[in-house]
Amino acid sequence: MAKYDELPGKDHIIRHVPYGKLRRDENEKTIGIEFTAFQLREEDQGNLSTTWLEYTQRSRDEQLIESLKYIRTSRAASAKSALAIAKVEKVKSVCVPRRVRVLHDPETGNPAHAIVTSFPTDEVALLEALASDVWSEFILVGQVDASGKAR
Amino acid sequence: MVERTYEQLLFEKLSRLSVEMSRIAMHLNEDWRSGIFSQLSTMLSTEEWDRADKLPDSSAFITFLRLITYWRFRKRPGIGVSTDGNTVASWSQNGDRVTVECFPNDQIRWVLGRSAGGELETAAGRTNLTRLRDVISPYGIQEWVFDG
Repeated sequence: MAKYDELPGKDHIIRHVPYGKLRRDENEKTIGIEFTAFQLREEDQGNLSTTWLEYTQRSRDEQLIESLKYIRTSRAASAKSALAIAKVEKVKSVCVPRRVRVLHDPETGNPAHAIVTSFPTDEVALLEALASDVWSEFILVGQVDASGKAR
Repeated sequence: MVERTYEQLLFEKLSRLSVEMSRIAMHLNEDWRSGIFSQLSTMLSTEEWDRADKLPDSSAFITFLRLITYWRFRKRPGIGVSTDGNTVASWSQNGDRVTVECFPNDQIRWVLGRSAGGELETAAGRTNLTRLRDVISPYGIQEWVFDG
């Protein structure tokens, strides 16, 4: 796949979410993602940074381990942070009518890097829908690390 | 002038927020005090803090403290920080969610997501913290958010 090609709708993208943007219950158990995980910074230029899970054609566990390795080339990912996973076609359907696109955008150190363009960062209710319904699957980084060590 | 390390900045911020919390400690039970401090200290540790984010804004944290002492909530909230450094408090029940982002001077942004007939319904708005119960009451979730 070439740079800026659109990812297949059935594939998945991962967003790394730090501890402070994870949703916890009253017992401090992580139960999901906060909408704040999708607030962009100025330097993001309207694009949400993600990693393409299916970049490598391996088992799901191996894809998660590989994706985490790529993510760690640009940022720290502690055991209590998480990888949130979303299906590409669901991201696009929930963001209608913004017509977002999910594009392969390889970077140095992360050949699986992907961006969601025209991301609706100011529409908080939409960010909540993305957090609660689209990026609803997540795995703690500590679990991915443990699975990698077990191999 | 001595330059402070990032670790020192995080420690100083945690100390500052702890001092603010101590001012209203008499209004919180031990479970709430220890639970909030535990989340803050983890969040502001060198391992967990995302250095690209702004450090928590003390004025916004004071709004959070005023929020949890002005209203009686049924459960202790999960606590986080937005990209801009605003304190975020959240409550969840059976898949329904309420999140409050606190800004300085008692201003808040509330965001809710709930299942309505099998479909996700979301809503959001900005108001003063004293209006929270009124503005979310039309959504029928206040009975599990508030105590009494």
